Amino acid sequence: MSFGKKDEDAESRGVFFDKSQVLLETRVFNETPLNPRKSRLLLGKVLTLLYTGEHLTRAEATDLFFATTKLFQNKDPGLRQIIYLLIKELADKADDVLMVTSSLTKDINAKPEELFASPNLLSSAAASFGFSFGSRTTSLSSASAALGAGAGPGAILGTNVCHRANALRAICRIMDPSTIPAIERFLKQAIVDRTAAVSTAALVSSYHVFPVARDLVRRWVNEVQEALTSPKVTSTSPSAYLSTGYIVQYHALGLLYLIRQADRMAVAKLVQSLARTSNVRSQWAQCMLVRFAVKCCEDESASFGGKNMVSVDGSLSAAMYEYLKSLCNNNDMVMLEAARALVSMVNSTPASLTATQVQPAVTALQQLLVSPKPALKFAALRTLHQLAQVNASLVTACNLDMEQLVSDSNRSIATFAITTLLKTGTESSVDRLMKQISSFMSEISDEFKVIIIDAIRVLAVKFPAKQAVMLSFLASVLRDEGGYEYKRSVVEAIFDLVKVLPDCLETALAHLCEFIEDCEFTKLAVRILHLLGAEGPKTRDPAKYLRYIYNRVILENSNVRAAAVTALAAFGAHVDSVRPTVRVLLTRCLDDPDDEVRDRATFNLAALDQADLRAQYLLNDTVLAVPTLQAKLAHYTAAGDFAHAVDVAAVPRIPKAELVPARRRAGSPTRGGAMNSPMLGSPAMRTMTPTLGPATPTPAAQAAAPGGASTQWLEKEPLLAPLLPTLFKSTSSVALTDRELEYHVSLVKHVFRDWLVLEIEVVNTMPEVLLENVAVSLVPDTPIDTVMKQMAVVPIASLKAHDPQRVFVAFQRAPGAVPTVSFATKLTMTVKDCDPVTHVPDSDQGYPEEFAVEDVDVTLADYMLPTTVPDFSSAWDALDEPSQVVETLQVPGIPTLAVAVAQIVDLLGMRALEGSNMVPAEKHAHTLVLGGVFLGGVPVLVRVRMVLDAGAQAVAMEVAVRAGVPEVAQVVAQALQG
Amino acid sequence: MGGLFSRLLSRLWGDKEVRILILGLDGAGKTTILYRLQIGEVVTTIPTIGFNVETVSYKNIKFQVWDLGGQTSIRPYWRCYYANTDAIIYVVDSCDKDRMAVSREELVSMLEEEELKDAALLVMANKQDMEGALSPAQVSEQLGLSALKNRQWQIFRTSALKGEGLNEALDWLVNVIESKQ
Repeated sequence: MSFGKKDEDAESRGVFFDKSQVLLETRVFNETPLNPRKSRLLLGKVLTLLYTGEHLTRAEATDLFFATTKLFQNKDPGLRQIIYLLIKELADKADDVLMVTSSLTKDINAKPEELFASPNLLSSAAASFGFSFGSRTTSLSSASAALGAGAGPGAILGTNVCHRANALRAICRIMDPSTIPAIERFLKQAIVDRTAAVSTAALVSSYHVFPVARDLVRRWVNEVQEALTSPKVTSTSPSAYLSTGYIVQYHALGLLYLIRQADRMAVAKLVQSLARTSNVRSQWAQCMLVRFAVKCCEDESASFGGKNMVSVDGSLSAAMYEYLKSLCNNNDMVMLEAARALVSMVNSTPASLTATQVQPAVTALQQLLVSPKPALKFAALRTLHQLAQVNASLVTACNLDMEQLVSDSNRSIATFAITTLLKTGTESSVDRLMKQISSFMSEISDEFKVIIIDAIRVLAVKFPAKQAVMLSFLASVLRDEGGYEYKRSVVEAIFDLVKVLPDCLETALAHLCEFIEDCEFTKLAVRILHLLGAEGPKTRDPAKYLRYIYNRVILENSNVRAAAVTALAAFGAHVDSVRPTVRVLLTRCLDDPDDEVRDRATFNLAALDQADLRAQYLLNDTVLAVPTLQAKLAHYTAAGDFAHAVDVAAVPRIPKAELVPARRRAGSPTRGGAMNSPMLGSPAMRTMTPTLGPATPTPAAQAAAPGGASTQWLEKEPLLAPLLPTLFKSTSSVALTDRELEYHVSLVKHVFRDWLVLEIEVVNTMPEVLLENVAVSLVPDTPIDTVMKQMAVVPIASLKAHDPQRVFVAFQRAPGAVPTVSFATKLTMTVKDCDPVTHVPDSDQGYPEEFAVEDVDVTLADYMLPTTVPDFSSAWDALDEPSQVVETLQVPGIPTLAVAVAQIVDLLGMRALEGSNMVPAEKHAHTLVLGGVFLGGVPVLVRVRMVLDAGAQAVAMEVAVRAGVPEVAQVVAQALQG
Repeated sequence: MGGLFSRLLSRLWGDKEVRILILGLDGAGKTTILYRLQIGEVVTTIPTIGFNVETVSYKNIKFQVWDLGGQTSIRPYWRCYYANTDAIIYVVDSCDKDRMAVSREELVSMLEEEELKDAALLVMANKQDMEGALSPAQVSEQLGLSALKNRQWQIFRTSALKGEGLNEALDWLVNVIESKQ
């Protein structure tokens, strides 16, 4: 046999078939009588080519396809099977694949008793195929695996079952939206088929069909439901394929979810009803159900818009909790999934589950820790780790089991055990753990090292007394070999230590200095130099760092040199004693070959010499809010009017510290978070990743919002775009409706020099409805005609479901007027029923509708940007005394000073300075100082002295306002009175 | 001589397959004829998107019968199946007078194909059970069969529904094929 010989050759060389040769050989498909074995082998070769990425031209694929169709004349089961595989491969490569529709339909409808000629042939053919092709390459073995999977049950269930299932899978590939209705009947029948293999194939195929024929598949809900609830006949030998009947449940549940996923209520109902009954027998289906249950709870908590914490008292969550708890002593997989779900509920809402409520999950995980299967141990540990990040005390029960796992031969398990123990450990166990870790660091990969470093960083913050041990550990690992990510995590851990524990500053800096002496990572060297510049001058002996820094100037690349120059200058600026030395060193840098280094040296030398420049540039620890500045410059250049300079005064300043991303603060375990892969992969799930730092956006983020991303829609509006250069502020988006309603409406206010533009985003959540001519009607609570006039409304012409669009309402304000007003607001629109998919309205006739939303308030805060001044008292003195306005107020109904402070900050839209927004709990008197920039770039400072009368729950305040323009001070003071 | 011997042997055991195409416009009754021949029953059919292929044994000869869909969109693909064809059964709906011309065009263009130049042509004037059906002679005239040259052909009156005329037609086919060999 020449074929066999060639195969042997091929085997020794790895797989290589010549495409044109193979295609030429397909001529044997035309022979009569056909040789099924030969044809099957040939098709195997073709599939190999396709699986290994060989490209067929459209014409080649079409020729091949038609040649293959001729093989339908032969009923050899093995041949037929590989034909299905090839059809699936060619479905999108060849033209006119519809030509096999009839043939496949016939196979799908084959009656159970119509057995193919010789079932034995199938297994022998499959075996021969496996023998000659299997296990050469991964893709090939996947081909044979696919064959094997098909052949296995087929041999037992009777060949035609396997053919029916395979034909179903193939036919769904060749169909397009226009032809699918023709086979709908067969698919529906197959879904409720008694045989698990057929039903499964139909369900999975429906999955693939869903994206192209949504509405069609939606109509099959009843069939899918039936497949979900009625158990299947599996096979004649029940022991071998016991679980295959239940796998139908898994696929049916998946499809049902797919069909209903857009409708949150329906999903919740589905999950609840299934959770109540014990119908779900498949463990996979149960795992999936658990994930859906988690999603439901999340959706429920999201629907409160974060206003309320979801507690397990909520009806849905309570039911879900009971369900999950009941699963905690089930089979391994379900148990793990349920425990993970419970833990994730703890993670997403820290207060919602109490220790006793999580107990079942912890117990379940503890059982899994002693499982003989490494995968289970790992999964359980990882989940415990996740829990430990939120509340370590919950996990302490497992400490003993975890300590045993530290010596596990599987390094991944050992790593997680260590890091979890680091979180749950007590101060006394730290030393022992650190010793264990040191012996173990060299054996694990960088990724795990990063996890451990993150854990140590958190631990160091938790137990300040142990910082010396930690620091020396970090220093020693810093000297080890390692990649960038690893070194970065170590350096960041040290940075955090420095920030949180000022005591270790000098030791830490010494370690870092040593590290940069021999550091191959430019980025790290630059960051360390920056830290040296920022922290070094505060140490007792700043001079000793100069040598380290200047060494960098001599030895390193230009990026590091530039950073070193800046760091040197920082020393020179802060420490008078070293200034002459720094000047000498900087002077030498003037000859540097790199522009940036020379520029920095020149600038810093100049700034060092003059006290005022030094104060302004080197000692000033505030910076302009970069996003605002960027947007302003972009508008400025776009407007093309260069007669006036950019108004930098209107850009707020923020403290430098806030430029550092929130992630780096508070030692949040970034890496550990990333390892907790989201359960469903949905964005909502990802937000679950625990952070120890405050989750609320920082004031810096809010300050960045003005002129940020939210103006992108304005820019597209031809009527409003010309105003952009005069934009002063855009507020962050505020919801005007509940998440439960059929339309979601949210508001962004854009404040310009003379204009106010309301951007109202409307989302239509109802696919069966098309909204036309959506506009907004605003009725002010006080007459505003004298100060503000509505000039234009830009309505939404047509609003499809889930396609956010915006209405713009533009007001022109009288010069200098800063009206505050509240509008009763409603949407007006024409509603038309429409096709949920094409969005084509059913008729031209619509009916008008009005939809009231929450009031739109324009407040003083809208005309104010929060800002920072380096030193409040000198800035206060710099503003004219005459501009000062003083008011005294008595505000009732305020229980604590903290509440009063929050209200004032909120009302004025200014930034609390010098930490004055923090009120010590026991104090009854407090001074709040605020900074802001008013419309037109007018600086405003406010000082509020307040005294709490705890008995009367009232606060007495004396408000002093100073501003660059007296009128503005007046306006701000009045705002507080209202 | 050996060749002859083996052909005789294969003839004896009937493993020689004769390749036959059933062609014709949509709705002429091709699929019904195919299954009438194969299982002897009238099956409910739906328009054939693509083709059906079955093996039919008749008088110790195995026929490999290809029933190709007759819809306009599928007709262009007929030619993909012409190779190695021994005979063509061309089915005509005898009641569909309006489309006789179309049927003729398809027939003529098909017979011009090089691959089919040796294939015998069996025309079935089908649906003779219906009222107002054209007679075989009328169909033959409308299709212009008399003008065919260098081709073995014959027309039969058939009703696939009632099973009439099919055996006669196949007998003729068997004769033609045996004489060819």
